Amino acid sequence: MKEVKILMTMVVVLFLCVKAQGSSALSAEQKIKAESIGAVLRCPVCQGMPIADSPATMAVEMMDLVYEKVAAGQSEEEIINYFIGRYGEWVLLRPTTKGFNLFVWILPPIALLLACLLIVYRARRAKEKETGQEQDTLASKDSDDTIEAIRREVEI
Amino acid sequence: MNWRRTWIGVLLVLPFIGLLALGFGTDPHAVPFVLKGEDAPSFSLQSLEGEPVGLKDYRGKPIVMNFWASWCEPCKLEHQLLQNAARRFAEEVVFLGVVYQDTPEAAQQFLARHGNQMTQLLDPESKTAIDYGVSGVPESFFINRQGKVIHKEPGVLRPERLFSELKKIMQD
Repeated sequence: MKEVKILMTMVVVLFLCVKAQGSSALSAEQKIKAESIGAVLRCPVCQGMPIADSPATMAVEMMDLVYEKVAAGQSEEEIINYFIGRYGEWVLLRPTTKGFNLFVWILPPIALLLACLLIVYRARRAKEKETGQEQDTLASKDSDDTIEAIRREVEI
Repeated sequence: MNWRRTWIGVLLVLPFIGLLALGFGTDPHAVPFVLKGEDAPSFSLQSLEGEPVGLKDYRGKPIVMNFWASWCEPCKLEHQLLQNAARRFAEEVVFLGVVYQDTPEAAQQFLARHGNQMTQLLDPESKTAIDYGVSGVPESFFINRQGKVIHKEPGVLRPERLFSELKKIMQD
């Protein structure tokens, strides 16, 4: 158990050292820019992890490339587009709001709205039915009284 | 039974079922092949023997580019197949191996043990691998004479797939 903890610590320290090495030539502002780009790019060999947080060699190398491109003066859009050009939009942890992806953003509120409308509609129908039944009961009571009155008159 | 209401319900539910089918029908971990039909990304690497090798050196020739590593068990399964194909089509097709996240020593030891008929390249920072959208090894790319990427084979190459793709890049 102790050995596992030591090994884990070594892996984390190594990861931080490698990370620090890749970004050492950048200014604080550039580092923030690179980290924010790395936070939206998916590591291809991990389970839904951004390359900025993954200790996987592939992610570290992708992050180094991001640092390199930031240092070369490329914009966030240019860098993200480079990775999209290699891995498709799959590489983005947050889908774009273009094309087919638009469904992902639009459908949940539409579904919620439809569900609300359905609930309101059903509630109204139920209320209307209840009112109708009350009126029917009253009407049937009235007709019963009338029939009784007629019967009494006929009997007399 | 109120058919009008039933049809409205079906029409509302169908798009959701379609989307769910689409979602469950695709592997979320599968990296899409976006380079299909695009120009193969150029590279300038060093061979295991220290020679500079670039994509431009093979202009006009069909290329099979295989990313592999000595630590990768599935790579061993396809190694012999690739070696046999490289020997058989030595005149017509260029077979390139790209050592992925591995040391030159380990790669050389592997090749000494298992044999080598291909030009083996080193990609120390995985820049070429990233340029090709590699997400693991083994992964193979088939490039035609015009320098267009025709096919990507993620995982172990099977003989029938290798020969059908070879046929395509040799014909194009």
